[in-house]
Amino acid sequence: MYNVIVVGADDSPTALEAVRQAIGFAKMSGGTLHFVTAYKPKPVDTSDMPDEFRYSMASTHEADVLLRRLTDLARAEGVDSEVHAVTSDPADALITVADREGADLIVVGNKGMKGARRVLGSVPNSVAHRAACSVLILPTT
Amino acid sequence: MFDTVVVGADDSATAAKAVDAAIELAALSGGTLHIVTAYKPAARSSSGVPDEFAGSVQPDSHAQSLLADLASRARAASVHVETHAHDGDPAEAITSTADRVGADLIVVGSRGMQRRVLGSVPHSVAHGAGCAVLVVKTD
Repeated sequence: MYNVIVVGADDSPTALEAVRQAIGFAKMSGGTLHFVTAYKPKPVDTSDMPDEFRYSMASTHEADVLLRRLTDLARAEGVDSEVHAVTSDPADALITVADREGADLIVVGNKGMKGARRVLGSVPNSVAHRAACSVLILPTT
Repeated sequence: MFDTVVVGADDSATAAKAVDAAIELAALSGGTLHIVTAYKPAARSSSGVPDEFAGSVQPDSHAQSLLADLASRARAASVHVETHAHDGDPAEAITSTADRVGADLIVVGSRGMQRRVLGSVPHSVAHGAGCAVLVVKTD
């Protein structure tokens, strides 16, 4: 039913709550979770760095650390997962990965759905309107 | 995971897809499914109706037969189901039923989301709900 499930994450408490519920959902439906985090690349000046350290510098991004932690959370519940770190706007990142992986569900927290931000366009609002698949909006606030 | 699932329905194809998705999820999670439909109260021109028939002119009779059909589909999937017919606005019918039964999931079809028109049912429900909302891709 829901085999390919995409969920957005950052290191905020509301995002982690969405991830926790998404893991529960994937466990129930037997699907694979795809964790997506959007980040801004840090300008790293490697010009004066020895060659042997340039690669290790680029691979220790916070996004990778976060995604590894989420994968561990999923594995603890017996849920398979893949990770995607994307350098773009969070809503674009979710839509892009969902399209590429042929997702049948995108899971997002409801942060920004109520109050002043709803008129400006929040991540869940944008995703719900643009997604080519079903969208599960979870209460996390 | 979802003990109480509420789904909005009318007699459209998009609503049928949303109901099927809600039945699947309720079956999977072992929850009770509440199917909600909204209807417009018929203009009451009882003047031309003989008294003995006045009671049989039910503005919600179409809603009741729709709900009976959908409920039988849920029962066929071994899902415990309850039905609710409300007069008035569909989004309001869905969210008020969800509040009343203590829903932890509302399922709606996505039709109307893309156009971003003010007042589309999925848009209103997604913003007004106090629980999880599944917007099923139906268009």
